[in-house]
Amino acid sequence: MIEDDYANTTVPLPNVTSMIISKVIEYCKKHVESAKNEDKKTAEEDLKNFDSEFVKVDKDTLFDLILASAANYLNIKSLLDLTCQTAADMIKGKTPEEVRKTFNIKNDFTPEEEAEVRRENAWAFE
Amino acid sequence: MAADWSQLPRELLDLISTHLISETDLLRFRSVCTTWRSSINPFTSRFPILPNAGISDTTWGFYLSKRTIFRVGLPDPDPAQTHIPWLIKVERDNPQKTHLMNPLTGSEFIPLLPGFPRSLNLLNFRVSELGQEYALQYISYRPNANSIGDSVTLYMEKVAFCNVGVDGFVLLTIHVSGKLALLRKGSVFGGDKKFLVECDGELFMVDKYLSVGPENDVEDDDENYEFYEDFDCFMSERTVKLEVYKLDREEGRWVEVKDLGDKMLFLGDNCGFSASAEEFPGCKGNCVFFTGQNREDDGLVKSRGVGVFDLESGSIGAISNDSGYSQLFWPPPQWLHSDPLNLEEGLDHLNI
Repeated sequence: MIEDDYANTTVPLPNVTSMIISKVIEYCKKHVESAKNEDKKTAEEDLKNFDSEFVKVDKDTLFDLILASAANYLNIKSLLDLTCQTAADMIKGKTPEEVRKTFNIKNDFTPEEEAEVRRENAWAFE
Repeated sequence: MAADWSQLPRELLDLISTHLISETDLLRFRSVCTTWRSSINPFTSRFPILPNAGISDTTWGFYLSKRTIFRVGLPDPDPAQTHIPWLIKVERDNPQKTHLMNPLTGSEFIPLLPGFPRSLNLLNFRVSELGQEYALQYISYRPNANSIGDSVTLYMEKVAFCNVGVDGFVLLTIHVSGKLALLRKGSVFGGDKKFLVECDGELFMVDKYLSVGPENDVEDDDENYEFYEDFDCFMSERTVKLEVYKLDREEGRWVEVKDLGDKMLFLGDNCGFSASAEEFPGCKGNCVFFTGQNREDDGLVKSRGVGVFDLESGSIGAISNDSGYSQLFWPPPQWLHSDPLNLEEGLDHLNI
């Protein structure tokens, strides 16, 4: 996190929109406030609810959030974990084709790679 | 500009993959596109062979066989509408020779049905892991064998029970996930066999009450009773009651559970796992599946079948051939492969 000494210094963040920055600030503010809460149990519950609502965003925003929270200057580990977990939850249990559709990814395997993928995912009986 | 997930930096792809717990999900991750594929290395989860340390003259050694219980289903949207998923246990110690097994017992489904494909491509199905089972096998010695020959499952006790003082006991158990649990409790449970199952992060214990004796078709006649005592094979061990308990971690004691809600508990011989009825259309939750022996009409003990205990009604018994439950295990569902199955032969393999 950015130290207090540098509170007035500008930090360069190329390729991050102001919308994403404000979302990240919102996240950080909430987590800092929560840490000050005396009642630990409700604070935890409250934070959990905030986090799950926070990641209910479209895929493009999630993508940008992952990149932003990983960015060297920001490096917000808890947000990075939260966003990566969200992405993982969208992958669990789905077929590769469903995952491609969800994330708008093109199947770019060569025929040989495709055959290898099929082999890896098959149950061969003899 | 739309996000291009295939261009996520490798460390971030790596980070996402660390949140995927099951091997199956990791395998699917590798199957999405080239960049995702290169961020995870292929893995083989083979246990090393433990050398025979003078235990026996006829074995080469021991190895731990891993079996995984899967739920296989169609992706969304479901063209077959509420299709019944397939619940199967798979052993792939040798990837070229996959074995399909009854999820609850140790029996294998062989021979495979005619018309069944020699290899099943699972890319188009949703596959999720429900649990794992580990069985210790020993490799028997064959002078000219080049590969692992017959292997036999050793009978392993996984629970140590010890009475401590007058009214307490200590239960030490190695859960199938490999975790060691130590439980201390004051009261005594009345059942004959106990099973531990994890469900939604909570630990459940099922206490099974057995009744050993000839089945009800024998009259309460002293003469017949003596006759049957001499023939163990006529004794069938029937499950007459199941009690379900949940561990209350804060209080450190077992609390009886009368309603499992949506959950289904499965008590296998070597494994225990749970599932949600939501993922299994046609099945209602709040029930426990277990194994039991069935007696054939000629008096011989048939291979082990599957029973179900419904917590709501209290009914307990073998799953009937025409219920939704019987379609869970075998034969594999129609939608799995294009060739229509010969249903009669399929029923033979149901082992029910």
